[in-house]
Amino acid sequence: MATATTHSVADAILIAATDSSGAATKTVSMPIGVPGYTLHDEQRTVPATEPPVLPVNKDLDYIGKSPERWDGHAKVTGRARYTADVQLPGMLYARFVNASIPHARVLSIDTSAAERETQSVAVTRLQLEESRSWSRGSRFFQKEFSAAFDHSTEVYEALPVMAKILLAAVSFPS
Amino acid sequence: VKEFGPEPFPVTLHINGKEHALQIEPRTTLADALRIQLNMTGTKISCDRGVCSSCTVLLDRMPVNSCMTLALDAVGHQITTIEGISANEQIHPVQAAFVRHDAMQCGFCTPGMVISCVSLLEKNPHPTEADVRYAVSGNLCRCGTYPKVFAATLDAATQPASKA
Repeated sequence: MATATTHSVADAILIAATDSSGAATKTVSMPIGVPGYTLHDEQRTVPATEPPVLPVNKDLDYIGKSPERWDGHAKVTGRARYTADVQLPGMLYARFVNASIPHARVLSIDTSAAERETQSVAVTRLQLEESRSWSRGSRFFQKEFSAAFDHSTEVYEALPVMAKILLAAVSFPS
Repeated sequence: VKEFGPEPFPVTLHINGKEHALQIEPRTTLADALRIQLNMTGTKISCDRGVCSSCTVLLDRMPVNSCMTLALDAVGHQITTIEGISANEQIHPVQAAFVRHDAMQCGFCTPGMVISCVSLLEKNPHPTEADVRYAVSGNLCRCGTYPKVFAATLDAATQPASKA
């Protein structure tokens, strides 16, 4: 830590006083400037509660240094544990099945094939209704639909019911 | 021609100087065998399609993508994973240089990156920066730590122990 240098840290209280609002102040000598260039001690008046002046960087352990990454050793040796490295009992695999036709109106969802899968433990369906405001915000979709139908009113009829189907056929890891 | 599978089949894998007996389905990749069955999760899987090289292991000291290698194909070969690079609690000079140069951020590509660089130094103890660049050209790092990887590997090449 701090050792005696030419720019020693002088945190001795020179004058005890109060500022204009009546709060106690102290006048301390502190190092100002860039080490090796303009570093020198100056007297400054600071609140009496101000902590002691920090030593210059070369006398500090971390400030101004490049400490090693704390988990660097674990990362280069492969010992660092990531989420994907965690195996818990009964973990499942999920298989996503999306609608094969983009921006289509979903009339029905047939999950019977997934349910017949012998290893599947659950089949779920997730239907996300997209709001009209979201659709209007997406110029790309409007353009796409205009090109496809060449009839903008049909586009606006179709957008609110745009839905994404999600089937999850889940199976145990081998 | 001997036929395997699809049921699990008993095999012995030589990993980091030890023999591991395990039951694997023929479809199991070496990466999955290491990570799921042997719980050696130092070998990472990012893309699982041979693009990113984060799953790199040494097969008879040659770097391969373990996600593109069937575990059955590794039978009879010496497999070295990141866990085997630092033997006996003594980390490899390349690993030490990676820490020194902070050649990682998230660290997910790092095991593969280390193995590629270790393999390079085994073949070429005095590489140029171009050699290092080529050696890790298959290792994708989205944190962008390449400049530090180059510096670390070139630094490791100057350490006497790395030429062992």
